[in-house]
Amino acid sequence: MLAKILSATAEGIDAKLVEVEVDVGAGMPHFNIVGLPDTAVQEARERVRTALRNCGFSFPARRVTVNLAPASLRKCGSDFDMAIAVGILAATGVVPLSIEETVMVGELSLSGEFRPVNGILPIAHSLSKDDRPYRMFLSHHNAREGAIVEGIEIYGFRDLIQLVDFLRGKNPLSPTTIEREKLFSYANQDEDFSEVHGQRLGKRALEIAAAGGHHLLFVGPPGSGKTMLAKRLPGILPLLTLEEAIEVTKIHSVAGLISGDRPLVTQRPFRSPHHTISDVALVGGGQWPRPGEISLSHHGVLFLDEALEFKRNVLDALREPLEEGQITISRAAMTMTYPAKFTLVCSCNPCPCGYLGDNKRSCTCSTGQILRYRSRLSGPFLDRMDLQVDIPRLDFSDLSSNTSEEPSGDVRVRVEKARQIQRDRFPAEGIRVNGEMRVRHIKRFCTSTREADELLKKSIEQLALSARAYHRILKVARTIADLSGDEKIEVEHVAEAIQYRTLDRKYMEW
Amino acid sequence: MKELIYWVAFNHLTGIGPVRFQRLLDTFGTASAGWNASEKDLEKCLGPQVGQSVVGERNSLDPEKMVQKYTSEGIGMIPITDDRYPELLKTISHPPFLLYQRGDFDFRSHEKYVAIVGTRRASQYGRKVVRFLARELAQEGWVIVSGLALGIDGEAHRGALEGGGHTIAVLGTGVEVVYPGSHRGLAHEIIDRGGALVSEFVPSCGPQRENFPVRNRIISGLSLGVLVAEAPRKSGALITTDFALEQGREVMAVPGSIFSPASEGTNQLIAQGAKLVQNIEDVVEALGFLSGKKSFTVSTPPVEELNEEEKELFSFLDYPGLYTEEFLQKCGWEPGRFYRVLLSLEMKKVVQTGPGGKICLS
Repeated sequence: MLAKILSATAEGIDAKLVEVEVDVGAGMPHFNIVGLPDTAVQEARERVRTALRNCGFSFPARRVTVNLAPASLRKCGSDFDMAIAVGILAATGVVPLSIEETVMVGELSLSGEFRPVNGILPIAHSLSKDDRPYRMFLSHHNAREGAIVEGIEIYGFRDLIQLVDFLRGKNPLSPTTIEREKLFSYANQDEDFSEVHGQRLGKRALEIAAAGGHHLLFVGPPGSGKTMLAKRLPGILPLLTLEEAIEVTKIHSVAGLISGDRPLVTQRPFRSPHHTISDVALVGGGQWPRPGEISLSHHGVLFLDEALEFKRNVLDALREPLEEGQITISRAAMTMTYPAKFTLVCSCNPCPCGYLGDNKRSCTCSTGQILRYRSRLSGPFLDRMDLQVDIPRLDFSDLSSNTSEEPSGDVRVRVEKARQIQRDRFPAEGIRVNGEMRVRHIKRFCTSTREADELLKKSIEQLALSARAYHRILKVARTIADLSGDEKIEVEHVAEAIQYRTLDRKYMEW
Repeated sequence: MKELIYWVAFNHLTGIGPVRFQRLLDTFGTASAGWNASEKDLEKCLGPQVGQSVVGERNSLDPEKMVQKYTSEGIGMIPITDDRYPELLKTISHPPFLLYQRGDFDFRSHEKYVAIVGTRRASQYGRKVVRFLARELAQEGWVIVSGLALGIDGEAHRGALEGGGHTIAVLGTGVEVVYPGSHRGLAHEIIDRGGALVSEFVPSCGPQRENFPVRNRIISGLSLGVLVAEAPRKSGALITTDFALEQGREVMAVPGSIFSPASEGTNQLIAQGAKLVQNIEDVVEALGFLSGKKSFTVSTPPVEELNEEEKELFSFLDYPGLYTEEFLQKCGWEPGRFYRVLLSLEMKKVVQTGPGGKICLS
């Protein structure tokens, strides 16, 4: 007899429906899976056979053929175990044959229990957009993740026996529900601004970066607090909207980073890959392209500590996604596009030994060493860092022992206000924040007072700032003006923005 | 002219320095005679090894073409017999028999030369000192001689140019090569402003480790005295002072902080009897001249040009400098105003930002 069960598989952050056809017919006992399956799918034969037996069902001693349609789509992973097992049971009359509009996704263990699989949220999300009212059968580990999506019924099962009982009508089960709003509790923000003493400059730079979506570079000796500051950027970014959270969770789901008890990524991601990372791990790749660190930091922060230690090709691989906000990965098997809109924060030492310009220790590097070290940050890459800030090593205990520090929440209020101004400014431009402005936007939106404009031109000349600094300064000045609620860029805003171009300054030499 | 060609040609051969060249002149009378001498005679004069290499190399050179090429490129070739050759340099032992020169500077038209040398990795203090002294000396009509290296050397040239004076860069490379590359602009400015690049090495000669100490003898040789602005314990600048003492030149040094490793060498020079320099009168007097101008060691910024706000902010800054963060904290100003006034102070060149974001008096 022939049974048809629906299943699905994630493809990037989208999903494809797969029809699992199971035929149990006459012939030599045999179990065959066709329809472009990979090794993991082929191995489903052993898992399904054993799981059925261990749950007390008999595996048919006949010719079993499983077809995964469409046959042209490559199938990989263990997503189809549940559908294949139920298909066999349906074809042998253990459960009713007509299982309509039900999508089954789950891996089987040999004991018949269901294991979680990756990519549930993308599948549920794309099914919910379909006209037909699908329901999903999942492992109970995956149920909460699937339930985040509205407009689709999710059933989570512990094992095959529970599922069979449900299909036979013996065990009524209600769909898994989840309180979406409750997931958005921000009380557990780990790192708060108020824990950082002093560092007014670094904090201010973070606030500007958060408000305008600017990429940020911290330059400073070891132990000056660069990492500590960078970790606090997600906390002052505007809260994730549900739509953004689902987008982020989809990517994390594909990468297998979602756990059952925290099904939705509700905080902005902060990814800090080690400097030995390969370019593929950073931007994504593999035979079946998986998202890399840049996509995992979508809507969040990508922090490259010791940016100059990263391999040159790794840093250069960042250029396209920084420009496009997404990354297209092409491999022989398929081409995949993952979103990658993130705020990049880099840190580096001022010189190889780390102590150039430090008060307490003198630098032991030769000029040539310093120049070689700095030249590792390629011009085009440096060009994208709107804010470059010196973080000196200071003893803040005697500077600010009695001042109370502002908590992240207060800063976030200002950031959100500035973001609102930007949303109103760019409705038709296809950009969200000042950091994404191109030259034509800068010409249109960065109107400054006459004095401010004169100051900028004069200072570029007099302080020997490089020419490319001009637009960067205007962009940052725009954000500073937005933070203070001014329509035009004033002298103060330009003066402050110039302070954030430390690497553009040609010191006499050093 | 004919003879000069062979002087230049011999300069291109390996193993021919001032000593052997003098021996050639003594033996054959003229350079052209030496050039065309037989292998046997050359071996007799220079020894078998050098003699053979001279014979081997001279066939691959076309002396006439070479000199034509240099002339068309504006490179001056000054043999020691020429009266354009610096008089002071002739007095040292083994002066170079040929100098290459780029730039119009005429050594006959000046008599006051002082060398300023020091470490390549100069501190803010060292830079400030040397720029100030070089500028003032240049204004007094002194020609500043230095080595175009990074750090103190570069600042000495810049200070001289600022003071509107002439400056001579003695290169450890050929005059066609500027090393370090980042000083290419400075080298051009030195030439454009009437100074010169000089070198005893073949014009296309690249940077070679062993050439730099050798040229230091020319730096001191061209000058009446050598001023060391900042030098750590082991520094090339101290090689120059050794040459200076050998050549009977005055050695002077600028004192530095006892806590600064960059000043260890200079402080030690003073301990050994070098003239301590606090202002340009010290330099001028040590070299046997009278200064017409009273100068001050501490150059106060032109405070009268500042407005009230700028004066107030400026008053918070003290000598060692402050990081922006400390500065902001110390003055207690609201950041917007602070940045605006700081930038205008910077534009008026009263303060400057150094590496690490430190703001110093300039």
